[in-house]
Amino acid sequence: MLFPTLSTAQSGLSVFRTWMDAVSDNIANIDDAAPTSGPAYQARFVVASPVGNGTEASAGNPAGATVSGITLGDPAGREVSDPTNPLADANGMVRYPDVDLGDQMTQMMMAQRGYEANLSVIDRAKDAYQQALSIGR
Amino acid sequence: MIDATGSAIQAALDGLAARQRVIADNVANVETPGYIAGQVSFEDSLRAAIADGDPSSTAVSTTATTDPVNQNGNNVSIDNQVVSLTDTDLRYQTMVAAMNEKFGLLKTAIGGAS
Repeated sequence: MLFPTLSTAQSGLSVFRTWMDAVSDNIANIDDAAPTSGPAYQARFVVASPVGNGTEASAGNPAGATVSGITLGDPAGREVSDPTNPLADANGMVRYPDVDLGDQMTQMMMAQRGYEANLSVIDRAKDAYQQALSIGR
Repeated sequence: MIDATGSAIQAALDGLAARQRVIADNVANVETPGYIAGQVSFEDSLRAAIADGDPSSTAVSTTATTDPVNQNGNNVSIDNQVVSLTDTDLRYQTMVAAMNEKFGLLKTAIGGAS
């Protein structure tokens, strides 16, 4: 790999991008009603894990993070009395997802800051690599 | 061709490049549960290697940090990492400038009196 630092930072970008995608999906579906006979919309939670065993970066190989899976929120959600909803059951109940907007916005900020941090790594790494290319000019 | 000065500069560049890669790894894992940040040290080894007259024997070692972990078992401090990255970048540029000076002297010696 010619520029391992760039690949490492790219893996970080992709983790935080996926996280932001999951958060926006959760927020878009925050008010999805579902019949009580079925599951509510389940929030997506991104699970990140490090690439390799921690020796890659020092050995000169690309390292970083990867999305190792998605865990889903509680399908039970919360049952709300809404008799006018066409999806309501005989007791007038519908199921709403158990997604907390405050929690999602906090996650959005964390993901955004993480994304920015990896972008700044790319900037610095590019400077250093350009310097290296100038040796002997 | 490359004398002790040149290989000292090269060893420093190697160490700084490794540090940059490890910092990038730390930043990519800033929110990864259970991730422990790594840190690179080579300066002490470089000093000893220069004293021994063989800078190319410098050892670059990566160790786990011992900073306290937060709730999800991660101990990456993003501000420390960014400051350290800037520091590493500037040191790298300094060593590149030194290497270019070294090659400049070499060019002069070869006969670049043009």
